[in-house]
Amino acid sequence: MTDVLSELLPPCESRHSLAEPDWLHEKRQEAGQAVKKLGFPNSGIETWKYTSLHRLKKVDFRPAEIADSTADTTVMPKLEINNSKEKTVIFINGFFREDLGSYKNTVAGIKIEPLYNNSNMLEKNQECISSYSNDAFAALNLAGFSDGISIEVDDNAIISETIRLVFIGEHRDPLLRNIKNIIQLGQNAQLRLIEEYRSGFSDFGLTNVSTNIVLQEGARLNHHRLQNEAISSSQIAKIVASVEANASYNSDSIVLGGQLTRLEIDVALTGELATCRLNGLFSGSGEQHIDHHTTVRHQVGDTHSEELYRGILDDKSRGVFNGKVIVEKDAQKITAKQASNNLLLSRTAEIDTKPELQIYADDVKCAHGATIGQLDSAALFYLRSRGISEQKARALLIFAFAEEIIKTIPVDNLRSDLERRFIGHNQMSELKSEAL
Amino acid sequence: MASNAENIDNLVGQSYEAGFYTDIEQEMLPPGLNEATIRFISAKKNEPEWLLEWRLKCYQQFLSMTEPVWANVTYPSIDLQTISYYAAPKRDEDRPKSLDEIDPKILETYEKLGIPLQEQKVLAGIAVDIVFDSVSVHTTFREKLAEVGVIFCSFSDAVREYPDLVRKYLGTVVPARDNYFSALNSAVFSDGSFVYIPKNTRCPMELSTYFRMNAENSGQFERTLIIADEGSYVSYLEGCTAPMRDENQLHAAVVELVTMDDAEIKYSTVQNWYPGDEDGKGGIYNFVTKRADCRGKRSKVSWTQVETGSAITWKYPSCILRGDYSIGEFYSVALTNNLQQADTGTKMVHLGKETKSTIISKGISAGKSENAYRGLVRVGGSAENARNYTQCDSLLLGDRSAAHTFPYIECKNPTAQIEHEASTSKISEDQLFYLRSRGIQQEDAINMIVNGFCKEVLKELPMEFAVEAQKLLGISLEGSVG
Repeated sequence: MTDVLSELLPPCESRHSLAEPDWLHEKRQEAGQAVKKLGFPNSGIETWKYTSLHRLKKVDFRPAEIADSTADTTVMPKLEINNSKEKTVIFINGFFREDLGSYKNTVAGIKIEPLYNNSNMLEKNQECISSYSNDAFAALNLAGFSDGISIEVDDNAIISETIRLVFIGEHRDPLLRNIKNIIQLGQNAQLRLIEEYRSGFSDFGLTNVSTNIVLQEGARLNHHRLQNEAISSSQIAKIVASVEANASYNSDSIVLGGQLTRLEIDVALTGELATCRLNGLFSGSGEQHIDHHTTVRHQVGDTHSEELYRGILDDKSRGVFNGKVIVEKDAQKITAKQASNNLLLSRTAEIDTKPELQIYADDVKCAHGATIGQLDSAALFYLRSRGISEQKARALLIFAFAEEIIKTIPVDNLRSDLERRFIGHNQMSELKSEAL
Repeated sequence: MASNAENIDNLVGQSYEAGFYTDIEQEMLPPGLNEATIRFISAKKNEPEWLLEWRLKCYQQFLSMTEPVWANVTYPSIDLQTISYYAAPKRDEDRPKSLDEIDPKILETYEKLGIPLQEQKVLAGIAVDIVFDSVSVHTTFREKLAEVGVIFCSFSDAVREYPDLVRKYLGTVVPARDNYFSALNSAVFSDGSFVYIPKNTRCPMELSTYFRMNAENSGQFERTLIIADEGSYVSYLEGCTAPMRDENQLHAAVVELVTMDDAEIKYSTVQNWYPGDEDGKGGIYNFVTKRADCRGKRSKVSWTQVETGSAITWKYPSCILRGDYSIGEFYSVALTNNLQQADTGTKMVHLGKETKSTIISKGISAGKSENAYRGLVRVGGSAENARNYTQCDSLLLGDRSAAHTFPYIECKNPTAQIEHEASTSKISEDQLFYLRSRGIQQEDAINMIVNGFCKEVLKELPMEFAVEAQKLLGISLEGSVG
């Protein structure tokens, strides 16, 4: 029973064997104090209105230690990771495992290292690493992060290899894995990144991950994020991205697994012609709880954003979507589009959506839309009249709804992999043979 | 565009037309809020014991509550102890029986406002229940309404004459605990209107109340209760203006509507209270709780509002769609200028089967104002085939204005169908250019576009009101747009 969030703070020495710089140690202490003060967010806090942490509070988490990273690797083949064409970087229980991944630091223009080894990167990003505002989990992350990835792409480097980060959670104890990632693209650099979370079926851990992204002028990052953990694991994640002039950030968030998944994406468009596209697909069944909070900050004029989130909720699952678009003072000539479409498939499922606009400039075109509904009965009837079984017709329509998001992913094998997993997740055995 | 900006500056300066102050003797309670205040109000109004007890109970609940801070508005915290909770025109004993007996100064006030009482009686066929500060001064057409059994009177009269009805419904739609301001209102409410439409009756005329706040330092706490019994229909109009004043005035009204099987209430508001001057000085704080309980099957409530006044508006007319097949509608135009702040919208709570709701909200923000739509659509697990359509559009006039949208959508039923759309933009240059090229003045062109923008809402207003609303929008707009 952890009624108090600060009980999840790890003792200092257990995190890593390496000594850390003094400033970091200090910041961790401060963050630890903040965790004590803030405690678990409750439903009285607007951004946690629809997400209850009562289940998490019941679990006796233990912060992951370096010893946990040597956990059983026999699960690896089952995860089918090293067959993939991409260059893989693998973490186990929050610690980097150099021996397992296929990526070696030989690709020109990009440097990928575990964050903890990279004191240079830590130093350089002191400010963004140390900020957690009033977010208890971000503070917990700072106080307790064990490791994470640091990715640096040089100016003008266009990386043709797709990098695939795989974070695996697997332990018989319920572990708290605090992971911190930093991704930086130099001017006009380009990178495609897959960030994937997996866990073993007997894992009851909580992954608390915080990712900082900086895209310098003209850079372009395609970021495909998959939450594919077992439905016994939980995850609380935060992505803070800063997008400079002419740069663009494209993000897909696909959530299929996890007991409780909470993902916050906060994108600041800080230079002219900066753009961002946020797409999301979440599919809940059983008692899954999936919460997306996105914020797009148009800080200067002539910045553009687009957002499309689709949710499919079955059984007793619950989906939460909160999309905020903020246009700051004097940020003129803005376009922002946002849509949240949701499909409720069961009487006990629930969706709470809140698309928000906060506009402080006048020369803007901002629009949002939200829909909640069930499968179109006319479309169902049409398929049935063509001799397709009800079950299969439903599966087809649900798949088509999800496909709108999946089809925008430009990596062929990732797309087909996702399609396959989506069908598996939703137990659409009828579709298996034909779709693939 | 440079000339545009100048135009805005010139026009923003236009002053408030309804701003004046009538100096008549008032019987006032010294400022302060405690149990004695409540006992005084109750005694002054000769209220029965149960009502006093109810007020005191509400006051106890109020004491345990704190002022809400979630709305997107900022204002200095209100010291409730500096407000006087009772003010009545002096000559209480000899209430006037006809217009001739009414204090000529009051009549003068109405004339300045452009409410020719006599004319209205004849021309519009509207029964006007004028609330001058807290006590209902004059009620017309009561007899005519009584013929069909419609009760339309001041709240105090209703407490005296129809205590059973009042007791049965008071506080059942908006419980005292609902929010800080409704609890305050329940404890100290002064007066308001009471309407009861009997079974299978269509109210023969549109009922209208003009509210007017006057006495200095008197927060006004209206209480309105409208009950539409089975198969009845009523259209109710509420409109208000207030005199120019530098001190902020708190207005915390509560409006409760109840509709039984097959009944319908159409509630229209034009709100034009003093919004404060260009520097945001003065103006009314309008913190209102309005809610309708559609208890009966196939009942319907339609809220229409045109909000142009008040320094701060905090108002969410809501519908609890309890009865199967019941319908809730919300049509709103909210216009803010200078430093006005508005946080307004609606709540549609679907509980019954086949319930439907429509929300059309048009926000216009000019000057340095902030205009927010905040709405809730909630579909409960039992609301089979519930349907909601929401559209909220914001128009921005001026680069210092702000428009926000906070829609909360909660759905627990898979058969529900919910759609929400929102857009924010400024006046289209193309449309402006088109109208200008046809020789239409810039100002008129903007007026036309804005009127078109609001048309969907304005057409929902009853005729008499639509004219006034259009005029109001015109004044506010011409004064704010370049």
